Amino acid sequence: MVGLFVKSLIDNGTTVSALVADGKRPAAPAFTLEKLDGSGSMSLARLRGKIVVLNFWASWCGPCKDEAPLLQQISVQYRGQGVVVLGIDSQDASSDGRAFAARYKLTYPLLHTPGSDLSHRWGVTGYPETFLIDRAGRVVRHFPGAVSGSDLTEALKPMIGRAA
Amino acid sequence: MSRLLVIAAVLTLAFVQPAGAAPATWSVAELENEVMCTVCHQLLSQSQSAFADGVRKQIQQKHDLGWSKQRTLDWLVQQYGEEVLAAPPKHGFDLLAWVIPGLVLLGGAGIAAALAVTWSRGRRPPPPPGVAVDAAMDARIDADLERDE
Repeated sequence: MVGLFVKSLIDNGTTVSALVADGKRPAAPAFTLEKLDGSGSMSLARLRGKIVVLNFWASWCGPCKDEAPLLQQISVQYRGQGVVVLGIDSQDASSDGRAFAARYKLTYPLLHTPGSDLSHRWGVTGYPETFLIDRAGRVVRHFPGAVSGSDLTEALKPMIGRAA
Repeated sequence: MSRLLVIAAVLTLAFVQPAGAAPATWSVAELENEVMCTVCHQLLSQSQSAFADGVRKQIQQKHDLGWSKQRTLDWLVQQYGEEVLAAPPKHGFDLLAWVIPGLVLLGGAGIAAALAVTWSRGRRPPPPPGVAVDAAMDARIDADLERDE
């Protein structure tokens, strides 16, 4: 806990969300996490070349419940155009996360992270929060709170037409 | 007859523990004071957040299953990380949180003792009565006295 506190002081101002808010396009910090269904692990690097909709969520979060059907729809609708929705269940019991995924019939990849270390590195201060990562692995947009369908598709469309 | 059987089954389910589960020797309220709501940074016992409600339910489940307190805490750390513990663990970097207050107290006591010794030794004796007069002044005073006489 003390370590996390010191780290948060050091990281302050250098989080992904802070850099994006400053108009920068930082490289997405690498991570490898266990899949929520327990079938191994997955790294962000594996998705290089894809447009990634990175969504931080938790089963106990009310707005995440409203947002889940939209993300599922986006994942199906844009799958053929190189878009991958990647959900990160954070600060949540994995069993609750799995129940959430089953209830909302989520088929896109879902990972689980214990604790809030990764969320802090990305500058996530609440749930849900969504980041857009371009094909070159740069974070180009940040949506704090539940993202709307119109905002997300508006941001995705120019990225889909653009090469890496 | 069938109604009696249903009542007997319900009573059996209500009072019989799951197989192999011994009653827990700790209380949920006790653990709520040792676990943090990692979202709102309050003790679980004081938090009304949705996160805290979920963790409370999980603790209750583990308690009802007869899990030990330590096993429940270990499970919570596995799910939410060490930040879920209200007291820092006594290993690694977090050990400093336990050691530093003691070191500060010891250091403070040492400094206070050193200052007390210094002050008690530093007291100088009062100056001797009278003013020292050198030989030249002594001669001048004698000369003045003789002249006045």
